[in-house]
Amino acid sequence: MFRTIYLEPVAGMVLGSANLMNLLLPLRNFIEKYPLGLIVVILVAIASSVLVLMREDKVGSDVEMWVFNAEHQRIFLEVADAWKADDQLPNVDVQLVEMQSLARRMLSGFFSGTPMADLIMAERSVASQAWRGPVEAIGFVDITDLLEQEGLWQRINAPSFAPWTVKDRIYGLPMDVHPVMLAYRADLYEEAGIPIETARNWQEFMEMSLPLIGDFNGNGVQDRFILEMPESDGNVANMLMLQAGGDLFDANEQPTVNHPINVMVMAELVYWAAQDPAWTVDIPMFTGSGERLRSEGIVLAWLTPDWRAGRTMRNMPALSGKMKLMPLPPWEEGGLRTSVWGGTMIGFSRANPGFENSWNFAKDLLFNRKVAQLHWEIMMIISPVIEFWDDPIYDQENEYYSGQAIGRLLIEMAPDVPYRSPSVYYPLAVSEIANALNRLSREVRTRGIRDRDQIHWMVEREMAVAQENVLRVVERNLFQER
Amino acid sequence: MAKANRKYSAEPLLIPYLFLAPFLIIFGVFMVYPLLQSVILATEQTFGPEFTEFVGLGNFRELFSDPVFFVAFRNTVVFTSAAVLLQMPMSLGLAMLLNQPWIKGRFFFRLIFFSPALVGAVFVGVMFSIIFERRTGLLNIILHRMVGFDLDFPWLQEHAMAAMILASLWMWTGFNMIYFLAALQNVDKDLLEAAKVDGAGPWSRFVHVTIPAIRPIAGFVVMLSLIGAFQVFELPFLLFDGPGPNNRGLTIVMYLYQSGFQVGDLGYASAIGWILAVILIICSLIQRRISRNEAY
Repeated sequence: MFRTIYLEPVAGMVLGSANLMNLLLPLRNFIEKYPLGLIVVILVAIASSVLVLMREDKVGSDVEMWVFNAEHQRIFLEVADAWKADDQLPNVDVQLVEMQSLARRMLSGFFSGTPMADLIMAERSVASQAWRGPVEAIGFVDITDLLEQEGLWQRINAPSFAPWTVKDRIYGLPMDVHPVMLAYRADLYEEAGIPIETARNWQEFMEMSLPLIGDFNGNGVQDRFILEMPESDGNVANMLMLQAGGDLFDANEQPTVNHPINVMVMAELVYWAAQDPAWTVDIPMFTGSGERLRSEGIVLAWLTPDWRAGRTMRNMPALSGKMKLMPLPPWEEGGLRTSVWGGTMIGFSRANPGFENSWNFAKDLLFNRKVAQLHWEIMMIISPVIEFWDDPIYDQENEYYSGQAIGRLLIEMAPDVPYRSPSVYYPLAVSEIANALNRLSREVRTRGIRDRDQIHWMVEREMAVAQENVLRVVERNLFQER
Repeated sequence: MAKANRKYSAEPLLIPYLFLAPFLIIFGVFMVYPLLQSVILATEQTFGPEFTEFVGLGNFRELFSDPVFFVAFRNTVVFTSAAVLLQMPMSLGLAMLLNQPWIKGRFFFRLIFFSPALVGAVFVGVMFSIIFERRTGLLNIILHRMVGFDLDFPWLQEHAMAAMILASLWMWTGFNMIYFLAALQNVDKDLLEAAKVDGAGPWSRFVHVTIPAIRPIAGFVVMLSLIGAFQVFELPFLLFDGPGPNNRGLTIVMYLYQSGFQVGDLGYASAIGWILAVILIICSLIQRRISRNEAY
């Protein structure tokens, strides 16, 4: 009715002739024959199909790479653009994919053959998910023999391979070293005339720092602490365990959370937390409030790998000229003075049909001096390629760190970076030691316990719980050979 | 006319199915099949579809001896209890207050109290993670200035459950208030008037007239809150950036996520999911039984 009364005269007016109306007769019959809802559905289907068909296809690339960080993408695109400009070289597309999405898409690709990149830049916790199953199911290409044949193995810092080495086979090209140093408030130590860099061990470091901590305004809240020690993130505790020669897993990827070295380190951390005024403080590491507190001087020192040294510069400009880096005080005389935190690799999907192109591109990223320089300039990450360590860029004095050549300092630590397990359960173990540290710190503070022997006994008890929790999850995995 | 009827005669048989088909196909593919598949998955250890090991009820056995699961279960039950026992009276109280005609600007206040529900749990989680910070958090600073409260009070570090409950109260009290408000506006005015004439005081009218009248809605709100609280994930995940110190913010769904997507054990995660489903089914049955017995 509506159509007859309103649509037809309007259409007639628009089209202006009765003959044209006759041409529309089949359409009118169609409209009258079928329900309006069905017509709408069909029209929407036709319109969306047309839109899909009209969509321009993306220009295909020969090699696709996923990275999880915008700065990495920016650096790699410089190389990709150079390849694009050369007609002899394949096109490379470097895509930014959020880390959790990257992990999901990577596993889907490995398990079900869904589309995935040829090259994947994966952080340690993401890459390790690929080796939770049997060795034959690892979706990354085993590059051990290639590294050997092409003589690349010797050109890369050996400990950097550790997180990507499963049952003596290597599944990724390491992109970093991440040596750890101690960032400290040089201005405050110098003002107090304390030569903190001469501390011969952690105990001495703590004792030398004592005059600088306390409740200075008398409001009952401690204003300054010696060392940042998060109790909900086990990474700092883990770094100190690695420095002492411990690790959370053994060579067979079995948990060793309550290894005597780990217990010794944990007991020391709990002892520091038990002091009054406390020596350590639990402040957030990567939030605005944590950075504000550090800028305001709540803590004298914190552990920092190369990447965090850069982040500190960017996020806490107020500390420019007040900071310095020093090697970690050793646990015992002659002991290791560095540790390691984080790690990233480039892995090659086994489903990749053009492995050679991917391999050449990845080699160009790793063994490219310009890329190494950009990594230092933009992200303050030192290259794992030993031949680049003599680059003058690492010798530049850094105003933020009181004129120190921090690149050189970090490189001096690089060869000593401890080995660590590639286990997929590493994040779980780190979180378990954080839980143990949290329980223990709370208990000693509440009960006022400062006796080292008693603390050691308590730590043994809690680390055994942590070990059991990790072991239970590891043993549930039927696919890993033990 | 007869011709037209003939044209339509065969179609009513097909057209309803045609219109139902998209839903049925999508429901079958994305709900029924995964649900059935998850039952199978709960009895397996997997590493992708190619590597599976049948473990029978092994995942469930393991779960019942897993102390971390019990921590998650305990946290979830405490959170859910608080969500129901604190949120419901607060929501009802607010609704009764904002149902009073003498309150000026009550429509504005309704909107204000309801608005936290509009922003979503992710926003609330991030916002409260900043509010609850030690030393720099808004809550400690305000309380310190007002009553000398400890500026270093560790809400997120040692009082995780209290922080979670406070954040969820802020978010959901106003949301539930809307349901109660709708129920209160449907209470029969004649009944209230008759009770008043019979000499019933305000408390008596509330207990004997208002409560029975809003009981069906109240039951629905309780059920909704129970289900929502048992499934809580984003709020603690963002508040503590994970399960929180010593797993104090670990909930059942977060443990499911950790097991399935961080550890990669999908079979175990599936078993956790089914335990949660059974808990929710039991809660629903209890609620239905109570509603039936106390039907208005």
